[in-house]
Amino acid sequence: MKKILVIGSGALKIGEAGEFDYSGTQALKAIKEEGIETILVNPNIATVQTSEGIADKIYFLPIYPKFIKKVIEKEKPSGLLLSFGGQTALNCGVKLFEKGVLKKHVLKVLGTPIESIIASEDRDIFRDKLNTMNIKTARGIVVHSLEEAFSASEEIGFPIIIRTSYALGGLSSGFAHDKKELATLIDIALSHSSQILIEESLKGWKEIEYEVMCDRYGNCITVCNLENFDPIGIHTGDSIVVAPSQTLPNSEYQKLRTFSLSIARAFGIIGECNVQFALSPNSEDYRLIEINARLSRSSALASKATGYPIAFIAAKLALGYGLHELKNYVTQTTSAFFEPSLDYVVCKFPRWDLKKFSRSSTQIDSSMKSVGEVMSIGGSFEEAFQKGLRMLDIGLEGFINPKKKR
Amino acid sequence: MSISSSMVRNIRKTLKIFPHVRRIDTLSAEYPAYTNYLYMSYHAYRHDIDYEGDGRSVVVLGSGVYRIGSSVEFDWCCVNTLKVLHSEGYRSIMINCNPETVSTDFDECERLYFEELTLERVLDILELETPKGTIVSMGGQISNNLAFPLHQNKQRILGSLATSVDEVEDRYKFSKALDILGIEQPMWKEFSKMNDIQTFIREVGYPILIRPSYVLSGSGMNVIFNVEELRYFFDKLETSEHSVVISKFIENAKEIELDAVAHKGDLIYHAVSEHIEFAGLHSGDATLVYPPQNIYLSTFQEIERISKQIAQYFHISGPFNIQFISKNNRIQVIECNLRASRSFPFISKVSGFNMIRLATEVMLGKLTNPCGIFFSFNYIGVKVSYFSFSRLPGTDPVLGVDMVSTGEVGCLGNNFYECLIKAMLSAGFSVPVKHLLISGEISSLKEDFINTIKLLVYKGYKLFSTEEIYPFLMDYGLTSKLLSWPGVHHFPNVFDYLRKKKIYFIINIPHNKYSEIDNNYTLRRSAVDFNIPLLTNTSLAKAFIRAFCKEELTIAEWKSYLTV
Amino acid sequence: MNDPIARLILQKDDKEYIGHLFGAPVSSSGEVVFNTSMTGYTESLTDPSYKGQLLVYTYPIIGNYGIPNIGKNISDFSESENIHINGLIISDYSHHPYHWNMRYSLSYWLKKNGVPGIYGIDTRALTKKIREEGTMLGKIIINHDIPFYDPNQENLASKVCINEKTIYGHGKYKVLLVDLGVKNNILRCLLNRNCQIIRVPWSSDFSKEDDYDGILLSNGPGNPKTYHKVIKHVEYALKDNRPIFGICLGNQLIGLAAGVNTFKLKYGHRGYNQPVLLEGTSKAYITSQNHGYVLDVQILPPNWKILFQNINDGSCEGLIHENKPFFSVQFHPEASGGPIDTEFLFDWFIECMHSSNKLYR
Repeated sequence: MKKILVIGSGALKIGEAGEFDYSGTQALKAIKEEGIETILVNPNIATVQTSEGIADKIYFLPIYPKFIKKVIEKEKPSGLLLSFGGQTALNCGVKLFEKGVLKKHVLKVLGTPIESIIASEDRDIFRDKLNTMNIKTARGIVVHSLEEAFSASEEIGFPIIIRTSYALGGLSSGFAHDKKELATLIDIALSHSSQILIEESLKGWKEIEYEVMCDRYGNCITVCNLENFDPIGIHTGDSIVVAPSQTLPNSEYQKLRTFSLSIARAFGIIGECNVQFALSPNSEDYRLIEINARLSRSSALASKATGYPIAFIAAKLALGYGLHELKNYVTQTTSAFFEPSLDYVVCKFPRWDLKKFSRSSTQIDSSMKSVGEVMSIGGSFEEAFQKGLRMLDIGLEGFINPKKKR
Repeated sequence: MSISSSMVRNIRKTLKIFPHVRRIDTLSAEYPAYTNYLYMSYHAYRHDIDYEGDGRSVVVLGSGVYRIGSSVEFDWCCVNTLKVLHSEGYRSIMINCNPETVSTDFDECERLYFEELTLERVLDILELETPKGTIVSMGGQISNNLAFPLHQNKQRILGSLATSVDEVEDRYKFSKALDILGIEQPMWKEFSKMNDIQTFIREVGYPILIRPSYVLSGSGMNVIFNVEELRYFFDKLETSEHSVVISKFIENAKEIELDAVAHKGDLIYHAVSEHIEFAGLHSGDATLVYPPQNIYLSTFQEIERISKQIAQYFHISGPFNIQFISKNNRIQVIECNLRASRSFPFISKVSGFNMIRLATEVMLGKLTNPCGIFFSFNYIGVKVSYFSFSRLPGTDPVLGVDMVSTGEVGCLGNNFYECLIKAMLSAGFSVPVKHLLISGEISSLKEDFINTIKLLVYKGYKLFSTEEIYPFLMDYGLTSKLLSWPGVHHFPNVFDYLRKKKIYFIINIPHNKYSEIDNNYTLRRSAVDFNIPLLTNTSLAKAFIRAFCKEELTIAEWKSYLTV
Repeated sequence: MNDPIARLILQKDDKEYIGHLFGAPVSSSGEVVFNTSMTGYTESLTDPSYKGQLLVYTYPIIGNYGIPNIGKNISDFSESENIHINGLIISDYSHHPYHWNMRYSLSYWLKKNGVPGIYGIDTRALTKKIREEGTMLGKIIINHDIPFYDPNQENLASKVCINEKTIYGHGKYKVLLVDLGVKNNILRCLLNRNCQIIRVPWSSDFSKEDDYDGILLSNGPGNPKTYHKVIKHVEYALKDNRPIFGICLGNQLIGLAAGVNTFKLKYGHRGYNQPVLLEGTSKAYITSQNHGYVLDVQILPPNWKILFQNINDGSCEGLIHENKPFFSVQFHPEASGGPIDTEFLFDWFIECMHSSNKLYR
């Protein structure tokens, strides 16, 4: 491997922000250390990764297949890294693969194979694969009429969520607890769209994430787990997140951890992936929600929360190293194949700026609205929580009773 | 009883209640690990690290939480500052609390405190570190706001004087200073009551611009066109301890930015860039061109002269930024900040001259000579904002004095149009394949806009229009297909065309904010929801249309431009 | 903070650490050891290997999910019926626990079992002290002072193992389980794999037993060299060809019987994140560990090889015999708490019994 092309994430947007500058910068450092030439395409001129001395060559160009193709033709790299530029880079890479550009230029996607990425993003393949592994996913059925909706509800059982893809492209959803409520909702939904998705409701379930690292030998670790303060239904990006999980006893923690590792192996992850679960608050019942076969917002958070440089190590794994062959970057003496132990608590808080927008709703739900986040570290949950609120710079001194104030 | 936080702090210290510094070592202290990744806790008995107390460290305050108006650009400034500190032989100490940043990568500095950027915590750290000084001008507003309180607590701030920072940030004091210097500025006055405002408005006339002091990214800022809007504004206004400043809003003025570094009051480097859009659009949302393409030499000289005056008056040492408006050769100052601005990374990368390096060297007291200015005829850079409206259901994708973009991109090109098209594509726009829709307000569509439309027709694009625009285009001999509004059950209907993706690009020039017509809002929102590129500013629309009607794009890497 | 004051005193320190009491209001002493795991206090507190120890958690918040119902049933969420530690030392006690299967609060359960806990201690500072100066004796003082107690001077297995032979299950493979303080999950792992367990007290002469397919030497507390009797019995068993599997203390005893020495680590491995490498491969596993002693494998007796190695400090994590079905591991493949990534070792053991069965009959 002589020359590697890295694709960045472009402009900062809601859902894809500074975390990809951090992970991309680390990846570039990790590759450079190996004496390999790096080419970066990223039009985000304000980032650290597009600075002097990080990549050998930088192209400030759109993350579109057309442009990346031209860079490939010009630079003739032998390896391609897609997992450090968020969904933007991944989508672009998948298009290049589908168009045969990668094959034509004998360009190898490093890390998780592109077929695995596609499989993890395709709802049907994803569900089938997990079914064969006996891992539970949320059940959902697409219906076109009230009759179909009734039979679907019988199969899934109440309560259920009705999701419609309606006129303005946004998603509308509603909960139904019985047939009567279902009939009302379906009536409204059918006026907007002919296709309605009926899904089992996981309302109130805990949302737990695991950050998994995997090497080409199949060695896997979980760097950390994260527990959302807000339950399923609120986007992780808009939720307060706590690391490590606070309400899971060993049996639940290990069960979800073991699933995460087997999923990562089954999808052939080489590098990092993020696995999200819904966990019942009243039993050990769970559902796998999704996996991200790339670096994510959570991985940046997990890196900072644990001190484990996920992106740096993921880049080394993509180059072919085994986890056990790498050193713990922090201690320099112990191995990178280990699971960080925390002797503190970490909280992540989102920050919204919705007041700036005309006609915006301040309701949070399953689509992310926050524009930034802070992470606080404390010796107790209270300490971390209070710090986090102050860090948001919204005039809060902490979680205090306003009536008692002064 | 009211008790100030500084009193509580003093009592706490007398009682010997101190937070202690802990290391993050990934192993819960199971093995010895000498990491530089730190946080503070009241649960700890003692510090995990020893302090040198040799005054060879410099503390850099980071940008804290990302928000609209303060984002990755300040992270870039901080990281570069840390690099310079390191190469100049200082221990670089970073304080920041944002997990999305590179500055909170413990690899980037000698010591990282993942901590609050509050006065209380920053003082805790500074009292332990006893650094040579603290740099507050790289992290945007949150760190800059700490300059004066830290100074009051006897902490040494590197760079411009904390008192100068305070004077510039306080709009009242700053405007007064401009008066003393004889520098023109839009007429302004400070108010707290609605009654006094009426008198001022009678004097200057609408529109006016209202803004509280100490704001970044224009929060709480508004352009007001009439008395109803004024009442509406005051109803929404939140009480703040800083004053509200009202100034005359100048329409159709050009906005120019200056990013500069001064050394003890002497301007040693500066860069002038221009907005494509007229003033009134927040500079963080505007399209920035550098080096500027449409500025007279006299304007340049005037800006240089004013900047030198300001640098001298406030005895600036370090980075600063001034925003100007220019109309009919009159240059006025609208804002100034004694800190690195959002455009520092863009300017530095386009020119290949790292302004943060220079600014940091200045703040460290390194002797620095004037560096001249960068100018190139061979290539230029354009910065375009990115908007996340699609993520926020129902929001109106219009731009105003309040910043709403969440990110930005910047591209280099051999000429303005090539560069603009690359940047706009990077920001998610696409070149329309065939049909464009023009709608909205007529009054802002002037002669030169019609010429641009003619170019489109010449290039074979087909036009759609809505009811007000249709006859307007007809008057200029331009035929378009009239589409009726979504609410009207007439065919052909705008909504139908959007849904069927028969429209590839939309230009919708909005009316004034509070008298919004719902049809236009629905159209704009649908454009976002159906993922159809939308432009709401005539200047940018004109430039973009001209750009995509022009030539091929070149594929070249950063350094190949700089070495031309 | 209305809880009464409790004091922590260490043998190698003239300082007193002041905290607050939870659990039973009695003074208690023992050997101070730390654990770096972030969940699983129920499992650790009921793990017989912790007999006589004052357990320090490096993770600051303990007690969040309370304690589930703990009875005599081995299928419950515990490793034995009782608490084996002498005291619990933590930073922050969760006074408002909640979990769907919670039966008691941690404090109530400790109180019920007569074990004190102290919170409000900087457990990181304490851990660093233990790390630098080695494990030390300590005591939690509530009202009156008591002397230090060194559990390593005693034979601890007799305090934690069963009194008489007990049979579990009706499976195909008969496992002779030598109970040195066995964790319930070892029993569960065997029962889930079609085994019948013949559980015998550590001191019994299992060389007298004959009706079994394989021996499992369990985990247990204390210094392995104090188990002379067992070592003798193992020496005898090694002459036979039936499979032997050792876990933790069992690993050390097999080593000692084969002629390998043991020594005490400066700071033992106690946590859920210990990396081991399967010798001669690129297969690495995260394991759960809880031990202070380790095999000294600088010189190995003939026919014995290293099976696993600790990736962090290179210490021996297991042995395997070159031509007989004997193997042992220093970590806990049964986990509980901790990762279950090495549970496959029980399958190895079954496989060994399966094939040697065929050889025999």
